[in-house]
Amino acid sequence: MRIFRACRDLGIETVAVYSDADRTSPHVAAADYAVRLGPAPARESYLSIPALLEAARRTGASLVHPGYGFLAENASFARACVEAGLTVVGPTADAIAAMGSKTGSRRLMQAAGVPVVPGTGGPARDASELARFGREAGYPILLKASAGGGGKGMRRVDSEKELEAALARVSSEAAASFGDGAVYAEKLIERPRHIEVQVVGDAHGNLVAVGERECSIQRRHQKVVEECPSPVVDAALRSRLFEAALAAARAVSYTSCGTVEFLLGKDGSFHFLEMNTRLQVEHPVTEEVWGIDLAAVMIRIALGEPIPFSAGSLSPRGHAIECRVYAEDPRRGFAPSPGVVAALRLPQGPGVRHDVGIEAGSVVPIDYDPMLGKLVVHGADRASSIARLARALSDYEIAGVETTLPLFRALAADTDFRDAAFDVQWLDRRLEGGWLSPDAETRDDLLLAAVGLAEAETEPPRVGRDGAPASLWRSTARREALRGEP
Amino acid sequence: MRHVRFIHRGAAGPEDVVIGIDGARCVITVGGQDEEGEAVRLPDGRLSLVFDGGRQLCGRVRPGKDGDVEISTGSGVRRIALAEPLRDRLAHLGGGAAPGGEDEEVRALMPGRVVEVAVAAGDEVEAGALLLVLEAMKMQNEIRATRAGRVVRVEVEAGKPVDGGAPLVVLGTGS
Repeated sequence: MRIFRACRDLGIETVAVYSDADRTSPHVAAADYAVRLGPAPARESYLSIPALLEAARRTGASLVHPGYGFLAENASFARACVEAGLTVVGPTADAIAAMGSKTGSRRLMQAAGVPVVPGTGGPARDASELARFGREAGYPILLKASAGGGGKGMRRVDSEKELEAALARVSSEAAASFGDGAVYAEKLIERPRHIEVQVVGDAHGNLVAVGERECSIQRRHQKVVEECPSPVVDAALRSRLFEAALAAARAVSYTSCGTVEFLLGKDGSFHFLEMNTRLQVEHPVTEEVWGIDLAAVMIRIALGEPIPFSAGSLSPRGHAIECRVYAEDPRRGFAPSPGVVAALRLPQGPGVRHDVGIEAGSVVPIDYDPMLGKLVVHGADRASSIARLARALSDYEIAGVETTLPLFRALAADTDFRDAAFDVQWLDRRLEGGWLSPDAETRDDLLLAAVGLAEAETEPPRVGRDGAPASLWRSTARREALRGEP
Repeated sequence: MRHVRFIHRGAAGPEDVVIGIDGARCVITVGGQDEEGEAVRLPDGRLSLVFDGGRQLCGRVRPGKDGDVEISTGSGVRRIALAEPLRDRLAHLGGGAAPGGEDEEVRALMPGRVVEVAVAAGDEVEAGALLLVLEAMKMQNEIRATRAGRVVRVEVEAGKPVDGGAPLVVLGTGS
C-alpha cells in the first residue's frame, strides 16, 4: 500500500501480487493489476521467484519493488529480476550480497574505517589469544560459538579469572550443539542503544545521510517503537554517525535507500551492527521529520534520476514516533491473535499518520507476520510528540483481535520512556516485571454494558435506513454469518 | 418504561444492576445509585450515553467470551463479568416485565442454532417448562417459560440458525 501510494504520486500503474490467503487484502483492491502467486505458504507464493517473474511478465511490468520482508534483501532475487530485464527498486545484488554476510561485511567495514565491535574477528586458537584480546578490549567480553546463532552458544566473561572455565564450557556446548567447537570473542557493549542512520544513494555517485532513528524499544531484538531523531544524539555525535554511515554505504557503492545500524554505548562510542539494504518498516518517522517521501525517492533513483535533494537542502522539523501495531496479546507473552477485525476506528487529527493494512471485517491470517499497521505521530518536539501519541492511543479502537495497543498506552505514560532513559533490553526487563496488567473495568464500562444489554433485550431488531441491521446483536450475528461460521 | 436486571460480578463482589429503558431515555441503578440520561446508537454501531448532568460516554458493546460482555472504546477493550452467564439469562427473556394478559415473545439474545423444540402451537405450559434448546457460543441453553400459558406460535425449527433478537416462541395467556 505504501509503495502503491508513492507510485500513484508518480503516475505509475501498480501490480499487486497475492497468495490465496490475501485475495481479499486491501493491497489487492488498491492495485491497477493483480496476480495470484500461489497458495498461502510464503514458500509457494511470496518467496517464489519464478512466480514473481511470471507475474511481472504477464502484466508487462518494468519495475519491481521488493518490499520490506520476504525477498527484500535477497541478492538472487535482485539478480533474477535484472536478468529478466526488470528494474529493481532497490540496491544492486552485489550491495545486498556484500552486506548480507556477517563476517564479510565486518571486514569490509573495518577496511572502510567504520567502527566495528572489537573482536577476535575469527575463531580463537587458544585461551591465551582470548586473554590477550580481553586485556586489549577490556572486560566484559562475550564468547560466542562460531557456528552458533540466535543467542545460543554465548557466554559473558567479566574477568580473566573466569576466562578459561567459560571457554571450556562454550567450546564443549558448541561442539555438542553445532558439531563445531570453534569460539570467537567480542567486546560486550553493555545496555546499548540501537541508533540507525538513513542513507540514500543514487547511480550518479551521490550519497546523503537523512537523519538517524532511535530504535532501542525492542522486544527480544525486534523493534517495537522507533523515533526520529534520537533523543540522545547531539550535533557532534550525529555528524560522527553520519560520517560512519556514509563510509559504510560508499564501501558497497550503495544506490538506493538503506539503513546503517549502530550500537551506541553509554560512553558515546558506537559500533557498526549491520546495514539493511531495503526500505525499512520504520522509514515513516524519517519522512515525517525530514519532509520527504522515501518510497518515491527510491523509485526515482531506480529510474536513473539523481537524488532530488542534497545534504544541505533539507531541514528536519520536530520529532516523530512510530508504533508497530501487531495482532499479538502483550499480556500473554505476545501470543499471536488471529481472527476477524470486528471494529476498527483510527485516530485522526494533526500529526497523526497511519500505514494500515487492514479494514473492519479483515481476517488476520495466521500465515504471515501479524503486523496490522503503523501509527506514526509527529510533533514540534519529543514531548509534544508523546502527548499526541497518548491522544491518538486514547482514540484508537480495534475489536475482535488482541493487539499491542495496550503496550503503547503503557509506554506513553511511562516515566523512563518519557525521559528517554532506555536501552535495547529495557522493554524486556519491564515486561518481565509484569508491567502490563489487564485493563480494569470501570464504572463507565458497566454503564455502557447495562444499556447495551437492556437494548438487546427490550427492543426488537431494527433495520436501519440502508437496510443494514441496526441492532448490535443482530449485526454481530450477521458478521458471524458472513464468516461462514454457525 | 421496561426494566432489565442483571448481576455484575465486580471486584468487590456481586452487585445488582437495573436498567429502565423507554425509547432513548434510560435510568441505570448500580449499587443503589441512579444515573439518568439518554442513549443513542451511532451510525457505526457504538453506543453514546449523555447523562442529565451532561457527561458523555461512548463505546461499543459486544458479546464477549464465556458469556461476558466486551466493551471496546478508543482507550482499550475491557470485559464485564456477569454473575449469571448469558445462557442463564436467555431463559428470562421477555419475562418479568411482560404485563399479564398479553402475548409474550420469547426472543434469542444471542445468535445461535436451535437444537430442539420441545413445544408445539396450542400446547399448554407451566411456568418453568422447557420450550426449546438453543445452542449459542458453543453452549446448549434451555429456554424455559417464565410463566404458565399457551403456545401461540413457534417461530423456529430444530437445526436452523437464529439471529440474535429473533423471536423463538410466542406465549399467550392460558385458556
